[in-house]
Amino acid sequence: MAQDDVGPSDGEQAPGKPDLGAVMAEIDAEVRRRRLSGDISPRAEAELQEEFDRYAPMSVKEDSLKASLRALGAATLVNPDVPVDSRIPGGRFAKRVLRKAMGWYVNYVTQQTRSLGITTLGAVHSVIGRLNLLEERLQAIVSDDPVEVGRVSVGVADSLVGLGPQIASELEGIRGRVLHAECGDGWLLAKLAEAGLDAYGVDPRAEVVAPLMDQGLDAWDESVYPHLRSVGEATLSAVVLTGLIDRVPLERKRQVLASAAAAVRPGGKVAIASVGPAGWEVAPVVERDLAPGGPLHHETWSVLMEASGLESTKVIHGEAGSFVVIGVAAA
Amino acid sequence: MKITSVDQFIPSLVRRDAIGSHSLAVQSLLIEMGYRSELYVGNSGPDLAKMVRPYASYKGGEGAVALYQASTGSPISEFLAARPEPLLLSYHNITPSDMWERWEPAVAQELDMARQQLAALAGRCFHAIADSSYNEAELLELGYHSTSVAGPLVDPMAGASHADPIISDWLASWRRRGGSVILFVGRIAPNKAQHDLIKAFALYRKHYEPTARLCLVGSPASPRYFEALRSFVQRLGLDDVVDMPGGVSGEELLAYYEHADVFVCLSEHEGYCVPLVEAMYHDVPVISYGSSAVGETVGDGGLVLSFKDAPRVAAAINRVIGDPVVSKEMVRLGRRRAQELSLDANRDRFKMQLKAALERLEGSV
Repeated sequence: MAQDDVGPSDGEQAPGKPDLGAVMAEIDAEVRRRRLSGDISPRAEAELQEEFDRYAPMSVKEDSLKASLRALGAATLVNPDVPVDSRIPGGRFAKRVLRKAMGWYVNYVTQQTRSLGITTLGAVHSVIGRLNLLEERLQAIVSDDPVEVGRVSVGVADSLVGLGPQIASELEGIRGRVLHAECGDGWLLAKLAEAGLDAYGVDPRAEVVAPLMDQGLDAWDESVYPHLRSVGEATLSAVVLTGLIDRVPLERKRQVLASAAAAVRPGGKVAIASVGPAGWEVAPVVERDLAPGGPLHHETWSVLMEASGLESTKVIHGEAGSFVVIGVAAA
Repeated sequence: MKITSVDQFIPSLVRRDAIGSHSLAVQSLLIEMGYRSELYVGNSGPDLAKMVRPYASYKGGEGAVALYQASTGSPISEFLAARPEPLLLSYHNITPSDMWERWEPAVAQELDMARQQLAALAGRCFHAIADSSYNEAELLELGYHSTSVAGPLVDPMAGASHADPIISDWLASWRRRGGSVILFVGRIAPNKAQHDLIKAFALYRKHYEPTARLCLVGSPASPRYFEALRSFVQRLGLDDVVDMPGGVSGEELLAYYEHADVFVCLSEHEGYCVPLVEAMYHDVPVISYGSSAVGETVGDGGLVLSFKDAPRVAAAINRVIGDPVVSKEMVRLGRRRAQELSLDANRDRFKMQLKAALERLEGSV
């Protein structure tokens, strides 16, 4: 850009000059407005990424282990039939003579290379088999699968829904992105968006998330914990955890909370909305039977939040034993 | 101990890259400070052949200090680890290998090795100067006990005295026809995330400005990633409006800066990112994603996004290009930030850190 009359090159923001913080907020508002109006499809980002992924190498995320093994298997098939095509006159003949003369040697090397490849492939298969076994065992302990952790219905407890306005009110005025995990049918996401927050939700159930996208809500079909781990440190302004956090085992609760605490920027908030142990008593029996864990008391959450580096915990009580515990990330 | 020489060790010395420019500027500074200073390299550009020596020919000895420019894996690291001379480190960052693993597994392995070598030198270095606080934090985590921060000695003006006329005319005519020019400068590499910029650009053209052009200037560091970007661009039907000219001359680069409406950096990992400073210096408003050291480098000289989802980046580009008041203010703030990170300013900071470290060494040995 050519240097023109850009004003003084030093000093603080001059009167009448735009504040970049305000510009950022306006950009956030513009994105929110376009998303809510349906102008920008909620799938736009995902669709573009999918297009790019067509050209990206295989990755473990895309269940490429099997494909990698297939490729490795194919690579063990070393072909001793050396090509003899040539653009040089007489080259083809010379190569054929050489191939014939060297055939015994090439075959010998090929045999050994194949043997090495097959042995390696066997070893890799064996390691993967053990890893799969380990993964299955771990899955039983720390699964995020909604059914496995007792999430059998889309609906959410009335007591939790009742806390929605208070959660939105506690987060009002926050700038930057606010995550609701797991967002379910969007009961809280809509309230957060109405409150003017740049909110998005994640939920592992694609069938639950799809209608939210159609409503113009920014919702992603992803599991909560992997999503929180993939979010950069100190990039969110607030995280609201509901649902899953009540049902997973204690260790997973700690991990989810620690990831949420790491994801919020200094001064940001982490809120845990729970039906509480009392509310759990009246939860659907199937949900209680299947869930590997149960809700904690708010006192326990306060302790865990402080252990995760969150300060100034605040508790808001709802109906039927439900509550929200809110912690603030240390500045 | 009376220090008489501070010799630099550079794995690969090329005059025009950031580490090359930095090393040459540090050599001038050391000589100005009264030390003898030679450049010992793994390899170098042909134009520098007379100025450098092979690292294995280093003799060192009484009063000698070694200064290692660390940014990649190199046998120099092991060579220095085994030498008796006090060791000083200038750290420019090593890209985390996981960003390369999927694309270039061999490079990922080299990066892992480089990080191991860096860790192994922690106990050997009496001081390390990092390009950014982000880099410094990495050193502290690896066990370095004495560290400080000073930006690299790179002159954003050093590229060329005039812009390439062909590129200038071409971009100027594009802009005269009403099309904006969005620019990113950096090697085509997975950690630079040019694919995210293409995604945002696609949405920007769709929703805001169908006549915009994207220039991704930089040599391909990963052939696979480069090919994937090209295929992606073709798939989106953007091949006529996304330029990937590869590495360019100083004159060509200046032409790109002179005609860019906005510089957008969505990189996942930067230890400093010299092109950000160059863009601000050349009065191009900067939009960046605040990963690694990016936010630290941009400071309040541009927009630093916490998220880089395509709709947000597209909206940010639209805001900057579409609002001359915002654009003008960003140019003003960017220019101020570029002055704070100018060669002179960084040189003063580097000199101060270097002087303090060498004096401490003289006092302690």
